[in-house]
Amino acid sequence: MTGKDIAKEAQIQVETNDSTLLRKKIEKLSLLLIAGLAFGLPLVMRSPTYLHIVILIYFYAYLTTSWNMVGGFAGVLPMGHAVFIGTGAYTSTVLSLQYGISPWIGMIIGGVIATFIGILIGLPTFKMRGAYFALATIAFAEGMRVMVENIEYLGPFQLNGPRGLQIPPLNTGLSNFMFANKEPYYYIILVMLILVLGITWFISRSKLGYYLNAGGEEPEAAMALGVNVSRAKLIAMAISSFLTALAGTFYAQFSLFIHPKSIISLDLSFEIAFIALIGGRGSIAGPILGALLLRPVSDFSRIYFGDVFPGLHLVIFGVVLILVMIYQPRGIQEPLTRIYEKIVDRIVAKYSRGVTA
Amino acid sequence: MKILEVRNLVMRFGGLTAVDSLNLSIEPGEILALIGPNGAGKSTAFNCIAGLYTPSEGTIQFNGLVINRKKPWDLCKIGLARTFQIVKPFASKSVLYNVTVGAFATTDKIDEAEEKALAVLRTLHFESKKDVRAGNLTIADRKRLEIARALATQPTLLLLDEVMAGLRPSEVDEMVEVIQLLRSTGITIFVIEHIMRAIMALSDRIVVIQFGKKIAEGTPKEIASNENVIKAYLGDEYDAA
Repeated sequence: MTGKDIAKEAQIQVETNDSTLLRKKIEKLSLLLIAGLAFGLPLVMRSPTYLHIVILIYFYAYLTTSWNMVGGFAGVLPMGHAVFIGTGAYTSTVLSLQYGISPWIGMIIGGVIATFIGILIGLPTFKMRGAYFALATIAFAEGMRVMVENIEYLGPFQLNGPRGLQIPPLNTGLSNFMFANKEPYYYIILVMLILVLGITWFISRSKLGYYLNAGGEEPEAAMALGVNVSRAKLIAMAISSFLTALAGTFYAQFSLFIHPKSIISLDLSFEIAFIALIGGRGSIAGPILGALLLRPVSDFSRIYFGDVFPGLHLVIFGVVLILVMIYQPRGIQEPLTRIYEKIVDRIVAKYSRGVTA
Repeated sequence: MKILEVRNLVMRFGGLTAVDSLNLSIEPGEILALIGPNGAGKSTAFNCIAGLYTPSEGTIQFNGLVINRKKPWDLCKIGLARTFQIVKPFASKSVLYNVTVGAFATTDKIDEAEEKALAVLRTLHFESKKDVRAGNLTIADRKRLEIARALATQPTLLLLDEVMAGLRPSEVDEMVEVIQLLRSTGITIFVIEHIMRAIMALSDRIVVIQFGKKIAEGTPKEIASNENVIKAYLGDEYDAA
């Protein structure tokens, strides 16, 4: 290698370093921009109806992101995550109604109980593959719903069977997790969503994330490389069920009324899976994009067609799901990521040309 | 001490005895080949040693430790790695990601794991493809990836299950070089292979099995002229010849 070559190489090295730095900068800026928009939204959007819809978008994005740890990374298809939502909602509500314990504490307790249930469900079912696993989790969730519907009192705890529990809106305030307007709920779920996204990002860059992905794609090969596949899946299930239960408490405090059909329903479990499949399983952006696309569809079809054609939103989900699976089997996050990369490429190219010229 | 010692290994599936009282052992640093006609039980024997199946009878010792009931992931952590006859890449992930999964066997930190994975790719002259999706690799590269992943777990004994099947002659030569390179770094190697040219060039000793039973054992030269082996491969009519 002559001196000239080395100089050239060094030049290229510097340029690539520059462009990766620039790329990181753009990434940071766009994240900040999105976060700024999200935090500023309630200042602009005054309509409580729209705010309600956005809160539900975040709520579903949160649920799907939690689901994604098992359903996305671990490569199985859990179809009964409503169990954990129900566990979280019922635990905190019963504790606050009967014992006056703050829902914030109930939220954590619900999470811990859900973790145990998650491990209990995971232990026998993670040996199954594909559709069998999905069916087993549906069975658990439905069993749970039917049980709760038929239980008036679980020991000392009043569950009220199919009538559910109503939270009287008496003591508003942060410590009671109850507010007169929607803005506080908006910020709470937004912060929860950001936290769960952070956790997901962290896991995807860790040994656990690698092990989950490997075990999900080729279990035998993963085992031969030192991965205890079922243990990795159980850990993911524990984290996922804990986080999902927290959202249950949020929902209970937000709607102030829970009953088995609303909170442990198959519809809810399916909707989470739909959002994940359409957005893109196993990606970080997928659940958010899926929720952004599907929740408005669901809400508006309920608002406009709810009385003439109830359940239309599920039909629409089905059609969208089929179309996405045919044309974008890895979810809508893939083409969108590609477009984003292209835009960044263009900016980087423009910038570096400007520098050299 | 022998690095691997298999004594009276029997593996039955229902009424079928796939491996029948097999005895073999490997010295540290050796390359041992296991050959035999299709369906002889080679892969089954491998799967028993690698912990995928629990043997019906017999003992398997790795560095003096009985590993009959050990799980694949535990074996990997104590230095026994393997590749699969039918390659199983994590197809949607990059080559580097694939190898990093293996490297996590010896570390918990992602930076360290990635560094180790890169080092393995460098030794195998595979670094230029580190960002290629494993699903887009050619068959030769997939086999190389299998070896790279197994190597990243830092094994002392490496089981290679037909890593040359389906390769072109020039690729076979490259693979022979790779395996010799691995041996020179002190790794003991146990191969199943059908390509005789490669086996003769590589192995120190060869074990031949047929219908699950060992029919011959010896140096490549001895095996090439062994009557039982010729019969097994070519049939009884060649007995006279």
